[in-house]
Amino acid sequence: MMTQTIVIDPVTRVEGHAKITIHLDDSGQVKDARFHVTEFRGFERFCEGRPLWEMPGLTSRICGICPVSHLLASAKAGDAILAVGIPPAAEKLRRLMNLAQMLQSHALSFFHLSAPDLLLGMESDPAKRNIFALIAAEPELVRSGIRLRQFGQEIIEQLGGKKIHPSWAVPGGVRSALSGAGRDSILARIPEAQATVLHALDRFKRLLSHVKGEAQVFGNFTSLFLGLVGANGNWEHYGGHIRIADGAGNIIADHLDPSQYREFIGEAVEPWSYLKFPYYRPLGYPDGMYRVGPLARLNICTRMGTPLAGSELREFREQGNGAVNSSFYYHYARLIEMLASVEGIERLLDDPDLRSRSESEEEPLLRAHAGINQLSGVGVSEAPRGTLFHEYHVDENGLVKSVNLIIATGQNNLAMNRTIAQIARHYVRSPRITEGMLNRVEAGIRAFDPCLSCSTHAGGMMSLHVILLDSAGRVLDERRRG
Amino acid sequence: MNVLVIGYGNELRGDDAVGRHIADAVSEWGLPGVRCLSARQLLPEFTGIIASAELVIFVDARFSPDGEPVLLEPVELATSVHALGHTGDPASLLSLTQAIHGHHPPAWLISVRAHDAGMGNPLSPKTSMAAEEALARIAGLIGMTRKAGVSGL
Repeated sequence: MMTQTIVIDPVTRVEGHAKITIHLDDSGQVKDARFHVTEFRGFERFCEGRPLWEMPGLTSRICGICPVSHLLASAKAGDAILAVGIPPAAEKLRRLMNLAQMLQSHALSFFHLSAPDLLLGMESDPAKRNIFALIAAEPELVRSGIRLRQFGQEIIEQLGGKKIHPSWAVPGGVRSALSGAGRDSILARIPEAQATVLHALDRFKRLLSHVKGEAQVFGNFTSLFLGLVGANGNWEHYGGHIRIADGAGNIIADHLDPSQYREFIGEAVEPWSYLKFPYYRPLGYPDGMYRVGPLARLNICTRMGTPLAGSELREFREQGNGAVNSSFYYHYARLIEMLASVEGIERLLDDPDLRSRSESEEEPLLRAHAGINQLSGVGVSEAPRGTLFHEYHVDENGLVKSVNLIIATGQNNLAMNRTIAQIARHYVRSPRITEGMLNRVEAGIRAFDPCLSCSTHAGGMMSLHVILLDSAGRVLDERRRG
Repeated sequence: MNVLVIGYGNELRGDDAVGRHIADAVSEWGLPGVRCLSARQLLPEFTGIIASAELVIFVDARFSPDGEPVLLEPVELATSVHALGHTGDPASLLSLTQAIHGHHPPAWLISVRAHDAGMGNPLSPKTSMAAEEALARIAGLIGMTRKAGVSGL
């Protein structure tokens, strides 16, 4: 009997790319889907032998889109190895930078990558379903989205000195404070940023009734959701503890110490992907599939902790029953997190701790100084795409002996596979690759906003190459896009 | 003349960063009216500074099994965009500039053949030599003759 495989392959020039295979059974029905990541995996080994103090600057170069996430998780791992509590101003400045990172990354995902799908329609010609067509149709929306992203980047620049790879957070704290002029500049742009997000939220909610079909099949299944929450259970992005909820919204594990992640997260490997497959250890692999990122964070938190985003969370939860399970709603969750980020930035700028200082110091206390007091440490924070774990082991001189990183895209790996399979089951009707199927698979992946550019800048260019093969390896159909 | 040189790549990946090395070297020339940007990747917010330039020169690494050490080609407006990626390419960025600002400057792409993208490696000797040629091309593009001995690499 003939087994057919649909391969969706990217065209990239160096490693750091992915392909998709869709496997049909004997009756032509979709049996499985695999999101193969051939991402370069040499980074962890590259860090070995490096001084601990270099690690934040070094790991922030893993990714050009979310350098701040690696910077902060790395600095937190360093804090643990120094065994220090960092000054309040340092923690709040780190929080400020992380919110700015969340804002700029989500803005890129929504306005630049996903809005053409959402606002121009899944059925529209892919040649006309892109950012250029969207600018022609809604120029102000796109301009305001780009300005929103710039706003986030400029906050990062105000704090770190440059937009990309600011080696600003260090083990024990941060290198510099926010200037008064910088604070005033950020505050002045808050109203515009908030208006932009509220407008986008309003547009998205008005679309909901038109995209129910997509919401039904774009990764609409129950899974666990994992992320950080604050001490009071509120939405969290920097500290707190790990909470895990199930697809019905029940909290199945709470108050988990992030530094003990190995007790509850296992990492499976598959021969067809370099990306590890993390899973919730008590349920085993692959039943312990969980999702991280905006959808997970909104499903696990008790409240958002800010007024406008809190109100939006209540409305968001009407899309689910206990938990919102469709991965399509990652977009919705991302918008609410942008609103929470803007509110959080404004609140932090008024926090007196940001300028706390000792009587003898002119600058705020920003850094705890210590030597190596622990030989290992784990740093965990919420990256835009989900929970990020950095674990380092060092020698007594602070030279790194080993590194383990668990990135958000990896944790969503199982769910992305399942999402692609679900979309394919709905849209694959023959051994032909249709435009509609390609559009949906692309859009389904985009909902997770996966980041594969961890090894080289070309890795972020995920053009698609789709091949349909029979069991003998003969090409039945082939499509390229991008 | 207001010239913008954008070199991009991953500085941890050997020859992949040759564009950034070149942008840094041009910056060291200290030429009036020439602004240099060294970046990990091309991002949509670059459209603002591109729109304000009169000439843009993108400098990137080119991983290909053969070909000239340095290629100089005009950048045309893109007719399509990458479907899933977070990064842009010069043509897409130029088109985005045109769409947002209503105009775009003339642009060139200088691609330098890369040989080694090993993690943590320096520029390979072949790519370093090619970078010198690229610098000379840039000097020609911005209408200057490089002074003898001026080299930033």
